[in-house]
Amino acid sequence: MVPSKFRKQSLLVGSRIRSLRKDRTLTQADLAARIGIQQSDLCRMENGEYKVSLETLFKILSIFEMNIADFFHEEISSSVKDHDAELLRQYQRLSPRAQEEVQDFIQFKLLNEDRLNNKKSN
Amino acid sequence: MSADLVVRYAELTATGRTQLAQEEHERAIETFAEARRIAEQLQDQQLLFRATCNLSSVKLNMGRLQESEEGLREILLKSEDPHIVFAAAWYLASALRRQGRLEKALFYAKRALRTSDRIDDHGWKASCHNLIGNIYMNMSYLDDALAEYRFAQTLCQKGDPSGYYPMDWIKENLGYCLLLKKRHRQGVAVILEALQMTLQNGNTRCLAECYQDLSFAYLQLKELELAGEYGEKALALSTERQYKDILRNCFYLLGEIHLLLGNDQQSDRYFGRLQELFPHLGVLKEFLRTFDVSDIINLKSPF
Repeated sequence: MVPSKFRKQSLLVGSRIRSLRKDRTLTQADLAARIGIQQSDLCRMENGEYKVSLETLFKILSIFEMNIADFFHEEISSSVKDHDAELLRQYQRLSPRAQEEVQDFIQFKLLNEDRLNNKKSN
Repeated sequence: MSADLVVRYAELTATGRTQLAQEEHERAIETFAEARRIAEQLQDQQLLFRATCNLSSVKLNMGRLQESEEGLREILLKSEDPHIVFAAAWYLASALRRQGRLEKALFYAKRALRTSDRIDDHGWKASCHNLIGNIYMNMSYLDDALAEYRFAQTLCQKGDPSGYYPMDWIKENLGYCLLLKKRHRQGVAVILEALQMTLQNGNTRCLAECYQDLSFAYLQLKELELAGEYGEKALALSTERQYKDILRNCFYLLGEIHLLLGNDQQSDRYFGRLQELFPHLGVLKEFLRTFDVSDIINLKSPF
């Protein structure tokens, strides 16, 4: 099962579609024809520039024969612990402005840690 | 005899338009079909073409897209009346757009726009720019779409105040396009203007889209309670009016909103209803609970 608390950035969905397509040795032209969109539009979708309806998104899922959850599972379970997932979920509930503040704070903490590490090594 | 038939034709056309405005589609089809039979009897090609265009408009509203294309290409080849040519090109472009045939849709929309130069009516021209904006939005060329909507809006403001202008639709589309451009607050302000208009003019389809768009906007802004309220309004209206595309979008939006609110049961219920529409996709619910697809979907894309 995919951990339900973890949510990915949408841009990765496009790049994941590209990986899935290549994994199944489908060309962009093949997949575009099966979805019913133009090849150039599929290319833009894989780059996160092209937006589709829910129906088309689900059509893409069905073309990949419903193994998509398992496929994503490998990547998710190996890279994210439950605690991280909960943090991410809480972060995503914040407003865009609050998210920016959190990002600033993380940047600040990272800089501080870098400085400390540099001092120690000197 | 012939004069009586012409009068009858005009009456039927007026009745059909009223029925269409009131979403009495089956009755409107019958009415326009009768008008068409009268035009055949009169052997008047221009009246026949007008009746064909009227029938197309009803079929478009009913989602019978391929059927709505019938006869329109012939009109474009044979008619020289700019009003009839405009209508045929506009309906054909709309039908093609909603089938995802965007290049061809753009071709016919531009044909309609060229024809509108011969008609001194800002409303027609504005509706054409609005349509071209929709096609660009479906192609995800958002800057081009914005320019078209803005131009359409300007035309409406310039026009004769007694004319008809699809200002509610233009604002609603413009607002949604701004949301896709991540200019959320600006988008919300424009959609709220459209909402006010639709509440006054009774355009329920546009009203449902306003509610849907506002739900999406507040979801993006993480103002989830408000997003839920508008989502429920869109759901109620689209259930009542059987706007299937909006209904489907509402299940997604409300599932997503409740997921972020931490209401797992509610979220599951809405995603479950969406899943029922796609029974062959067993992973759909799990997929939506796992991935944020809000940035790659266009709720107004017909394909």
